[in-house]
Amino acid sequence: MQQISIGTSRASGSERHLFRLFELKIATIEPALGIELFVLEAPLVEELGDLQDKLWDTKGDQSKVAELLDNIAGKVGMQAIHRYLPAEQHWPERSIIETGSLDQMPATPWPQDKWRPLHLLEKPEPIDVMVPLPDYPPILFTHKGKVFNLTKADGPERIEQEWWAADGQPRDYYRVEDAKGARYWLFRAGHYADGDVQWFLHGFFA
Amino acid sequence: MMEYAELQVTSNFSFLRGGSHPEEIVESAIELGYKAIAIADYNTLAGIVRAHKTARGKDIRFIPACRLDLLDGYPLLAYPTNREAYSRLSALLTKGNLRAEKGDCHLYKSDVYNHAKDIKFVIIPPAVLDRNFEFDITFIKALEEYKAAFGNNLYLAASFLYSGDDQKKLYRLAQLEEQFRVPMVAVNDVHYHSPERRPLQDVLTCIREKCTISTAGFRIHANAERYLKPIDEMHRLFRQYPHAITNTLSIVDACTFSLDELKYIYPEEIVSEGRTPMEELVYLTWKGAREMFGDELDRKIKETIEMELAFIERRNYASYFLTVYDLVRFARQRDILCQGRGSAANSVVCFCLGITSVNPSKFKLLFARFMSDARNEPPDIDVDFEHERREEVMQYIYSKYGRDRAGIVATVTQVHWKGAVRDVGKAMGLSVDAVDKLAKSAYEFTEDWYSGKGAPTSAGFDANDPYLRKVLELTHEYISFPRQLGQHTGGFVITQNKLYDLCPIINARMQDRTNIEWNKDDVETLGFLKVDVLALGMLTCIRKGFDLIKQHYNRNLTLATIPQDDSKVYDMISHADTLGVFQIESRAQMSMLPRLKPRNFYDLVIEVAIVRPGPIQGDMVHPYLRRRNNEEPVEYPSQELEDILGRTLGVPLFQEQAMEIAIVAAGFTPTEADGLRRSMATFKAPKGQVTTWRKKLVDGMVNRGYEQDFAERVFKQLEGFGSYGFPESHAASFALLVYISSWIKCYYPDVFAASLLNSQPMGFYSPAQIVIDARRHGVEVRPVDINYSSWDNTLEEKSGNYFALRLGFRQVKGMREEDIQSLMAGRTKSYQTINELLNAQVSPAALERLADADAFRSIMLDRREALWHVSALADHPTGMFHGQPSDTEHEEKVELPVLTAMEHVMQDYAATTLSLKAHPVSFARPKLDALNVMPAGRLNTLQDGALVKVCGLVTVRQRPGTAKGVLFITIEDETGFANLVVFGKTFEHFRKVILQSRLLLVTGQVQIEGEVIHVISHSLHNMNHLMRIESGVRDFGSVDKPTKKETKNPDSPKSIQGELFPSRDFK
Repeated sequence: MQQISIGTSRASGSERHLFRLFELKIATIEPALGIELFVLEAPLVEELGDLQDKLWDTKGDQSKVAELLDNIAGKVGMQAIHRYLPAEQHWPERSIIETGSLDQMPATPWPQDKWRPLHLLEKPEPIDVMVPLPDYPPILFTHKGKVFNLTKADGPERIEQEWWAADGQPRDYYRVEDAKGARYWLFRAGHYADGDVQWFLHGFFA
Repeated sequence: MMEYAELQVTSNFSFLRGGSHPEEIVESAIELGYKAIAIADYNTLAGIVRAHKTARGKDIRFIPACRLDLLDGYPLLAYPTNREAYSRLSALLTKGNLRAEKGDCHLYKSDVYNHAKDIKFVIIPPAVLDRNFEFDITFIKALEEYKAAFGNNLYLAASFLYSGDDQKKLYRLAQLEEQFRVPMVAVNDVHYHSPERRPLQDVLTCIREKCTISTAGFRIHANAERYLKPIDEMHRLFRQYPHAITNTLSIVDACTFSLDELKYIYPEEIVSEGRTPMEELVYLTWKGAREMFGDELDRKIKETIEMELAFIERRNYASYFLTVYDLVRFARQRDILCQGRGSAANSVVCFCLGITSVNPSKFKLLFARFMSDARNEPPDIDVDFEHERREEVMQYIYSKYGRDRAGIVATVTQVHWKGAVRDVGKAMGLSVDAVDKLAKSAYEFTEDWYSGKGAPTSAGFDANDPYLRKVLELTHEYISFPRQLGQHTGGFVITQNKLYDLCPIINARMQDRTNIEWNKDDVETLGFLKVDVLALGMLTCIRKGFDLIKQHYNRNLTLATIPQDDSKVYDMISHADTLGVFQIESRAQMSMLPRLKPRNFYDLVIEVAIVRPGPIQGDMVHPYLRRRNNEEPVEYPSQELEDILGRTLGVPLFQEQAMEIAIVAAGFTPTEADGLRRSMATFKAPKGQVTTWRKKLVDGMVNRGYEQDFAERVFKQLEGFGSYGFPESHAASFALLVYISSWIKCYYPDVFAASLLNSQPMGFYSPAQIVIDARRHGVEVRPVDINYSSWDNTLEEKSGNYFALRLGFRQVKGMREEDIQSLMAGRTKSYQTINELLNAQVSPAALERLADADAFRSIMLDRREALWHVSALADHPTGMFHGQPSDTEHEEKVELPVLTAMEHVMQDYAATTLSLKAHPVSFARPKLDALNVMPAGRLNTLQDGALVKVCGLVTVRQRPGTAKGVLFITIEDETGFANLVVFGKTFEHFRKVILQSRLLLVTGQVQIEGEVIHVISHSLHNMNHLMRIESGVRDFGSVDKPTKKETKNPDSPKSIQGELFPSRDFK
C-alpha cells in the first residue's frame, strides 16, 4: 500500500487548491502492477469559517498567501518554512518567537529604534577579527575562511545576559558594512578589557 | 589629573527608580576619586541630606540638585548655584507638592521660569532618534524655548550608555549645541552605584510597572551601564567631545552652594520686652527658680543653674529652651498637662521653666550627666501632652507661627522583610502562594539554612534552589530602601523665615497638617532644632484624675505638688499592686516589682529602665537584683567605672552608661560612641559592621584590663538598646508619671479607676479588669443606668471609704455620643418609661443598646423586659398623640422567661465588656471544683513546686522577643489572676488550644519566689464549653434591619468569642 498526504496551513474548501496540492504528490506514486483501490481519507479536518468578503481589501487576500505556502510546503516540506513574530525582549535569541500559524498577530510591533538584521543566524558563528583596542569596531573579519574588509561601522550596543535566567558574558554588537556594501551584525562576547573575548557573526542585514 | 563630576544621579529616594541609597552613591564616588557629585531625584530633595552627611569632611563636594519632571515639558535637571537659588528651588517644589495629592508633585514650565534665577539647568533629550536619525521636533522646540527662558544657564545632557546609536546621538547633540549655543554636558544617568545593583533596579522597575521580570521586556534596560563609572572611563567615552566633560566642572564651579549654608534661625516671637533670647531665658529661669524653691535659693541649686545657663549660652541654645517653654506655657494656660523628657529636659533650668516636674536637685539628676561640651549633641527635649488635647497644642503652633514657618518632620518608611519579599517575589514571577509562604517564614531563613546545611523550611523552601537564593538576595538588598515619606508623630521644625526656604513642604495624609521632606536625622545633621510634641494617654488619665479629686475631695493637685516620697505609695508598688499604673503595669514589670522593692524615686527610674531588652539581653538584671538584695558584693571593674556605675551598684542599666563605658573603658571618641549607638539603632547595619564595632569595643576594653566576659555583656546590652533605646533621662521623666499615677491609685482608687476608664483605650488592661481591681480596693461600682449615668464614668456619693463609681454610657458598645447628649438633655427629671426616652430623641437603636447593657433597672425593667418594650416602640404615639400612652400599654402583660444569672453576665460582657453581677468563671466553679481546679487567689497558699490546676479567662497573651519563644499568659477567675509560663515545646504542642481558648484550664507546677507566683504549664485544655461562650448573644428581636444582623455572621463562634472575652495579645 502506498500513501501520499497533503496538508494546508489553514482550512480550505477550494477544490482547485486541494487538487493542486495532490498534483504535486501524485507523481511520486509508483503503481507497480496497477491500482486496485483509491481511498481518500481526511483524518484531520477543521471547520471552514465563513469569511466575510471585504469591500476594500488593502492587504491582499490572506488565503492566497496560505495557498502559496501550501504549495511551497508541498514541494520543500513544511519544516523549511518559518514565520517569526517580534517579542519584547532585549536578548536577540529571545527577541523573536516562531509561530506555525498564519493568523497569529504580533503582540508588540517590530521595534523601530533597534536595528536588527533581516537574517538572524540561529547560532552565532565564530569569526576572527582584526580590531583596534579598546572598543572600536573591527577593520576586517574572517568567516569560514573568507575575508571581509570592513569600511563602515556603527555601535557598540551592549546587551547583557538575562540575569534572572542565565549567567554569562555581555555582548557588544556592531553593525558593519564591507567594501561591497553588504552589512553584517557582529558581536564581541565579553568585555574588551577582560582579554578572554571572542567574536561572532550573528546576522545579515538586507 | 583627570576630573569629572557626575550630575545626573537618581537615588532610591526616587521611589522604585533608583537602585542605591544616597550614602552608597557618595561613598562610591569618593572611592572613585570624584571631586564632586550631585544627586537629582525626581521632584524631591528628600535624599540629599544623607548624601551631604556622607560627603561631609571628605574630599568631595556634594551638590544638592533635583530632577524636575514637568507635566508640560521635557525634564530638567536643576542645580542651585547659591543659597537664594536653593530656596527658590525648594519653593518651586513646595508649590508643586501642595497642589498635588500626597506623594505627587505637579509642576509646569511656567513655574520653573518663575523660580529660575541663578539655577543651572540641564535639559534631558529623548532616549532615541527617529527613523531619519533626528531628534523629535518637539524636543528641538523645547530646547529653543528653554534657551530663551534660561539663557546661559541652560545645558544639554549627553550620555553614552551603549545603546547602539550613541555616536549618532552625540553627533546630533553637538549640532544642536552649535545651533542654539547650549553647551553639551556629559552625564551617565546613574541609577545605581555599582553594576551589581542592576538586577535590583530591574526588579524595582517591575514593581513599579506591575509586571514580572520575564514580561518586563523593554521596560527594563538591556544593560547595566547606568552606574557610577570611573572618571577615566567617562573621559574615554567622551573622547570626541572632551568639552562635555569639562562642562560638568564648570557647572560644579558655579554651584558654590552647600547645605551647610542653610542657617536655622529661631523664631523671634519667643522673647518679650526687647530682651535677647539669652536675657529672656535668664530672666525666666530665675523667676521660676524663686517660684519653685522660694526666695532663699540653696547655694548648690544656684550654682547648678549658673552652670547650666553658662553652658546654654556657650552653645547658643537659649532660643530652643524658650521655644519649648512657650509651648509648655500655652499648655499650662489651657490646663493641658505636659511633661518634658529627653537629654536636656532634666535640667534645673527646665524645672524652673516648668518644662519638667522632676525636681532635679532632689534626685541628683544632673544636667551634666546628659549634656556636656564634649558630647556635642544638640539638646533634645520631647514634651508629652495629654493625648486627647495634643492637637490643641499643634494647632497653637500652626496659628502662632503660620503654616509656612512650622512643619512636622517626615518619617521615612522603610521596606521591611514582608513587603520586600512580597514585592520581589512577585516581580520574579513566583506564585501568589509561594510569595505568601515566603513572607511568613522570615525566621526560618537562618544562617544554617543559607549555608545549605539546614533542612528545607517548613514550607519546603530549599537553600539549593538558585532561583530562590536570587530572590532572597534581592530581597535583602531591597530591605531598608525608603518606601514613602510619612508624618512623624510630632516633631516640629519652627523657623523665623519661610520654612520652604530650607526644605520643600509636602502634604500630609491628615488634614490640616503639612510635612517637610526631611526626617529627624536630616534635620539634626543640618543643625535645625526640632521640638517633639508627643501624645501620652497617661497624662490624659492623670488630668482627669486631678479634676475628679478637685471635684470630690476638694484638693488642688498638679504634677509638681503631689506629695513626694510617700512610703504608703512605695509599699503598694512593692507589692505589685499596680494595675493601670503608668509603665509598671505590665506582667514583666509586675513580677520585677516585688524583687526590686522600690523605696524612692530613683528606684522607680531604675524599675522603668530595667525591664527592657537592653538590660535583659545584656544579662544585667540578675546581677543588679543580687547586689541590691546584698546577695553579692558591690564591686567595680575599675575606679573609672565607679563614677559611671555608682548609682546602679556597678551594673550598667542605662543607655548613657553603656555609651560612657565605650568612651571611658574602650577608648571610643564621643563621636564613635554615638556612631556605635546609631548603627545599632537603624537595623540597617550590615553584619560586617556590627562585628567591627564588637571587636573594637571588646578589644578596647580587654586592652585596658577589663574581663572579656564583662566587655561582651556591655556590647550585648548596647545591641539591645539599639532597638529600644531607653536612656536614663527618659526613664526619669517616666518615673515621675509612674509615681503620680501610683499615688492617685493608692489614695484615690475610685478616682483612678474612673479616670482610667474615661481615658480608654490605653494601657494593658480591659475595662473589666480595671473594674475588678477597683472593687478589690473597696470601691463600689454601680452599673450603667439611664437615670444615673453620664457619658463618662462618674463618681457618686460616698459609700464606705470612697465615692461610688457609676459606669458611664461610654462603656456600652456601639453607643454614640449624640444619643447620650439627647438623653442627658431630656433628663430634667427621672425617666419613668421608655417612651419618654424616645420623646427625648434617643434613637431606637441606642435604646436597644441600652437595653442590651441592662441600663433600665431604675425603672424596674431587666434587659429582656426592656428589649421587649423597645421592640414594641413602633406604635409610639407621635404628632397630636405625643405623650399619650401607646396601644401596647393596654395589651395584656406578657410573662417573659426569666434570664439566669449566667445569661445576664454573658450579655453584660457582650454589651459592655464587663459585668458587675458576677465573674463569668464563678458559674463554672462547681464543675471546676469537681475537677480539682484551684482558685487563682489561693495559689499563694501552696508550696513552691507543687502541682496544681487552675482555670480562668485568658486576659493577656504575650510572647516577647527577648524571651526565646516563651509565651506568657495571664488568666483570671473570680478570685484573682494566675500568671502562666508556657515554654516553646509545650507551646508547639498546645498551639491550637492556646489560640482558641477563652476559658483555659492548665495543669502545671507553681513557682513561688517571694510574692511572685508563676505556673509553669505542662498541659493546657480548652474549657470554652463550660460557659457556653458560643451562645452568649442575645436571642431575640432587634430594631436593626435583619440584613444588618446577618453580616455579623452569627454562625461563626470565633467572632462571638472574640467579642465576648477578648484577650490582649502582645509581642
